[in-house]
Amino acid sequence: MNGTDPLLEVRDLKTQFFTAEGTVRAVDGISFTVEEGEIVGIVGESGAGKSVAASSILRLIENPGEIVGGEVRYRGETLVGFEQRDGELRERDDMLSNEAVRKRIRGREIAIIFQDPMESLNPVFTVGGQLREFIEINRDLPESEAREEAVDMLREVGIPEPVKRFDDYPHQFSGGMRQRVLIAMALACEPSLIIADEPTTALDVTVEGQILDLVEDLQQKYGTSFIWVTHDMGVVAEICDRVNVMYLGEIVEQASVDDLFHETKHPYTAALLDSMPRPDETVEELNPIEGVMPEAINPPSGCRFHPRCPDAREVCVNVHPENRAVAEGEIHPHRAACLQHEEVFRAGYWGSQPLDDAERAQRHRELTADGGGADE
Amino acid sequence: MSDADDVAFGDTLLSVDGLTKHFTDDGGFLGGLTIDMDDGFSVAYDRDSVRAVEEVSFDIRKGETLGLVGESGCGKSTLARTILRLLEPTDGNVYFKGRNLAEIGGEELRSQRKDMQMIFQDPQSSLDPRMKVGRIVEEPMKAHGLYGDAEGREERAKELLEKVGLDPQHYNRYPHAFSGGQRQRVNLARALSVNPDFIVCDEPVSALDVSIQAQVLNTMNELQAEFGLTYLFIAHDLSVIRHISDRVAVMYLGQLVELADKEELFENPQHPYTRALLSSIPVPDPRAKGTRGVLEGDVPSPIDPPSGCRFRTRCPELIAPPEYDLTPAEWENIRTFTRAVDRRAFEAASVDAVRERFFDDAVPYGEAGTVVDEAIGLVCTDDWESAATLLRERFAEQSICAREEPAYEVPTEHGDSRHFAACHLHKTDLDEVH
Ligand SMILES: Nc1ncnc2c1ncn2[C@@H]1O[C@H](COP(=O)(O)OP(=O)(O)OP(=O)(O)O)[C@@H](O)[C@H]1O
Ligand SMILES: Nc1ncnc2c1ncn2[C@@H]1O[C@H](COP(=O)(O)OP(=O)(O)OP(=O)(O)O)[C@@H](O)[C@H]1O
Ligand code: SF4
Ligand code: SF4
Ligand SMILES: [Mg+2]
Ligand SMILES: [Mg+2]
Repeated sequence: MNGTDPLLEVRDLKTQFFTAEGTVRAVDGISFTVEEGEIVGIVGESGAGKSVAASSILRLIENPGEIVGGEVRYRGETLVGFEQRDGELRERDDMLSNEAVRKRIRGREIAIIFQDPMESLNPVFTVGGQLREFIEINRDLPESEAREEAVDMLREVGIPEPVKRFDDYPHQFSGGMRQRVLIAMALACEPSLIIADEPTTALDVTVEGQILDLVEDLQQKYGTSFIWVTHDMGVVAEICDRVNVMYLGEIVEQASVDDLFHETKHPYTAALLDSMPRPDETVEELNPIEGVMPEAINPPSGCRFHPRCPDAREVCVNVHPENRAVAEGEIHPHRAACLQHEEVFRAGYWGSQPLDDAERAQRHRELTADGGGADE
Repeated sequence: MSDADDVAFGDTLLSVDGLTKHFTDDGGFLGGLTIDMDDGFSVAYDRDSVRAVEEVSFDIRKGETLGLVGESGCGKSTLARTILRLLEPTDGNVYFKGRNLAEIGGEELRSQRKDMQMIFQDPQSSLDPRMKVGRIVEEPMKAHGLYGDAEGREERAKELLEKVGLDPQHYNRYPHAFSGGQRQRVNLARALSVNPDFIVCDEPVSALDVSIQAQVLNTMNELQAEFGLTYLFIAHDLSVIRHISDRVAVMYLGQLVELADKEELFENPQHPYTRALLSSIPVPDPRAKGTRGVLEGDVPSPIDPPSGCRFRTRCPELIAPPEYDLTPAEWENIRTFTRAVDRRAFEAASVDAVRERFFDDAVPYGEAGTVVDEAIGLVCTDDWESAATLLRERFAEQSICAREEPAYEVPTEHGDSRHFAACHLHKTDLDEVH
């Protein structure tokens, strides 16, 4: 540990959706930090809770969702803070008001880029106009100066002919250009942290490459920190310093990017890496993870990954592993939520009976109401 | 599959010859009419059309998987649909088992179509939400009068569901009760239901998570081996293409730019676009960090594609026009400057500042120098448009890349299939193929 406080600290954050089918435990007690100037990845399959986690940090959760516990601290301020009082979970007094988050934090200190660029750009206003207005409001600049600033930002993020394209509408921009505009908007107030929710997933690899380069340049120039949400391990390897792997609402592994790939400590991460076809070598046989990730309404008992885990044993059905430090890391320890790390968990994993395939398949079928996608 | 016109494994099953598909501006529907019009129909008409697929030729051998890769909008789906005659070609021919699909009609075309199935890009919208899975799988059998009565078809459908890795009990479920990966399995079962020889798979795994993607890819491989299937497999993900294909075709703006054996294409790529694509993929290994290259610019509009080589507006290896006798460094600087002028990517403070910024290490002399000076003068008087035009006309458009359409065969290093690369850098290599 290096003594100074992290830029952002998320502790035991819980967000749930209260639906007719039941309570969706979308984010179920995750903890991680972001240091100054760092790019921290959140990676996981569809439905793992990545977007909900990202939105929760800025308190952007809407009905029927609710943050139900935990803490988010940013530079000494409490964005989210709950405490147990008189047997009840309550908001703490130091938790910022909605108004304070909206006026002081969002956009200015922490900006967010959403998964779908069309959702964030209004189709009936020009691209330049939207950017100008955003700068005008957030930085209290007069219109003409805001316009100049907007043109500069568009040029900076690589929009060709920014003066000419200023009055174009979002639909006249390609997907990659729209994403650049959103990055320009996120950068406009020079925030310290940008949360980017799969900003390149919908883009072609060539355009994605352009955006990743742009982000690296800007990060060097402004020292901005990023939380980068993705399901692409290639992107993670390319830009992240540290990574959180999410599975079914929980962080199951947390490590520096090099340790995650080369000193993998969780069977899910290992399986994910193993199931990927590679661009740089021919893989004859892929090893898929069996089945699908179950719904977050009734997560499996014990280790949530046990119905799909090739290493699952009896104990994994009953004991729930927290995400604990299992090895040293460069600055932060390498954490993993897996009972195989006996010296840390002491749950008797190695003496426990391995679950056989039939048992696992059966448990998996019970869990995923539609029978899952398991191969024979 | 016991037809008299059976093709042996390794022989050509499908042959695509000069296939072209243009869409007119006034809606995709009329696009189909262009086939009835003579060649040389008015130019004005041509100008307005989207030239989605242009003169594409290749063969697919029985039992192989041909991967087709390219960026969004390059014409992959249009090519697939035109091959299957779901769209009428504007020009060119498709031969299936040696028969020209344009020349057969009625019953015969229907039965040929049975042998050619397609799995569509979007697993969500390609399954009718009101139909139970069983009926979805049976529909094509029924249309082609296969497997006798309802009972026979049900038995077959259940068998197929099992084959693609679903529970036969799911016969009575609706699509919404399935995950994305499972829906793609239903699509596979439906395509298989009429015993096709050939399946066009349009991005069958693009919408799936990696763990699920691997399951579906493995199933597709198993089915191919079991039923002797031939695949045209479309994807924009080069990792998936590398895993599944025997040979790979790379498409850019409506045309094939390179075609070779998989190993050859990935290990010995000969087209600058292929090289750019390969080097822009983020490799899932942090220790490979920093090896990625970047391809600048956007894909031009298919309504008015660049002359000569369509990739030339973005090509990092654009060939210098011979008349100026430029050194590589001079040519590099001219191109960087041209790109910056095109994009208005800098502030032109003074002639000296611009010179220093773009031509510090290598200044072109003679005629080329005069053109550059003139262009710098123009940007400094804020006349970007004229500067861009001048540079374009005097340099880029003088290149062989702008003047001739490239088509070459190059030597093969891996495997024994022929290797095509549509790039003038290979002009001296081997035969030009036209
Ligand atoms: N508004 C909502 N109402 C009910 N459930 C929700 C809502 N939003 C998200 N969820 C549920 O929360 C869980 C996590 O969703 P989230 O969008 O965070 O996943 P994700 O990891 O971002 O997935 P993707 O990769 O598909 O974007 C899922 O089970 C999802 O169904
Ligand atoms: N019915 C149509 N009418 C007019 N233009 C069309 C039509 N269908 C496709 N196009 C255009 O033809 C070009 C090729 O489109 P196509 O869908 O074949 O691309 P693709 O390579 O499959 O892209 P993606 O990877 O996004 O699926 C695009 O410019 C597209 O806009
Ligand atoms: S705790 Fe058990 S089931 Fe969970 S990941 Fe570890 S070995 Fe697998
Ligand atoms: S023909 Fe010219 S522009 Fe086209 S790829 Fe080759 S070098 Fe580049
Ligand atoms: Mg998401
Ligand atoms: Mg397509």
